[in-house]
Amino acid sequence: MKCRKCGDKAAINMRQHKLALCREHFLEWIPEQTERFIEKYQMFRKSDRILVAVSGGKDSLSLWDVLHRLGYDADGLYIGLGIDGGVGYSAESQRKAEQFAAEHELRLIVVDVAEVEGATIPEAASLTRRGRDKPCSVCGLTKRHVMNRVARDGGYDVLATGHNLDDEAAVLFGNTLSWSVGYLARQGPVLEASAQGLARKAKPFCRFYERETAAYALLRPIEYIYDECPHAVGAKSIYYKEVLNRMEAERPGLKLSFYLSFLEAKAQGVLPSQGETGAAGLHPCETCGQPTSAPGQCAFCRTWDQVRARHGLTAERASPR
Amino acid sequence: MAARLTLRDREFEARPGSTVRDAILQAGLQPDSVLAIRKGELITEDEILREGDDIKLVAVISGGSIGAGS
Repeated sequence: MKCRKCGDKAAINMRQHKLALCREHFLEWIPEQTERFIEKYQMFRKSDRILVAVSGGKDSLSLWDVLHRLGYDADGLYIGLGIDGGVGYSAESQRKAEQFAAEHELRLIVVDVAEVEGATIPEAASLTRRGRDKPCSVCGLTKRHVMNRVARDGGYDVLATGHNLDDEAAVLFGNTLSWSVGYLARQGPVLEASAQGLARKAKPFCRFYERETAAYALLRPIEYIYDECPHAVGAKSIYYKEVLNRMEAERPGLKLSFYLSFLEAKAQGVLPSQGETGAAGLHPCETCGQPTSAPGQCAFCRTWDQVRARHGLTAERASPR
Repeated sequence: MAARLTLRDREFEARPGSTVRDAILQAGLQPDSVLAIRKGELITEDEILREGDDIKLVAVISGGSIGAGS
């Protein structure tokens, strides 16, 4: 297969776009398209301060790389989760993130959950009802809280995450199967900031297939953590991705069309607006001040207070937040 | 001599003369879930497998806490 732009041997074929490109032109195409999505969805401007959530994986490191190449002012945030899984998963992902930051002379903020909150994610998960059967739930809750706190405290204009189209389509698929209208209403390339203190969030890679972000990382090359999080085995999100990929094999472009049709339907008012579903009912958590819809304490503070109590720690023994 | 596909610690035999895409499907994998590398170079799925080819497959799916509402 030949590159559509120069006729050289193609490195990747994107069946949904009927577009094959060589290494050189693919590495140009990804930033061009990213810039297009940033503008189309009004994610942020060159003058904005961006915080990129970096996990050490292919998506977030590629996003940071692309934003840097495009000239955006983007710092990284790495959250140390303390996951080992027999492969030193967190230690290795932190090393990849730090290596990337050092090589590109970028600022990386590191927050170690065990240092700040008193326990690792696996420890916390084993000590709470929320996490006992699904550590991903405590992990997601904690990451969202820390990302919002660092973005808000650091005065960043936007928090950028490396969610790709497969991530978005899988979430959309799951929320559609359960008709979670509130979640559906809040899904999109941009989640606006709320007056109650939720940082603005953007997903510049939301229209790239996962194999495109992986190809970008391989071709640049960017050294990323290849091992999957040990706790992700059997995750619903992965199952949904596999189901969607089976359909995509028969119907190229199905995933993209699923997501774009959803965005179009949302724009036509099929779902309530973000404001109608979420921010209106938010108030500050009585412990940390971050917005929550729960009465009193937010889910993060409730969960971690429970963890520290069962772990024999008091909130004062953990480092200040 | 057969061609070989490797994905992490799993190996699959493949028939020379078939395309990479057919070999991936034959192995029970989804073409959209992997990238194929031959001698360090990313290749497209229409490439024809040659005798003795050693194709490294890179898994591209990641997941976990991206669940509902994220």
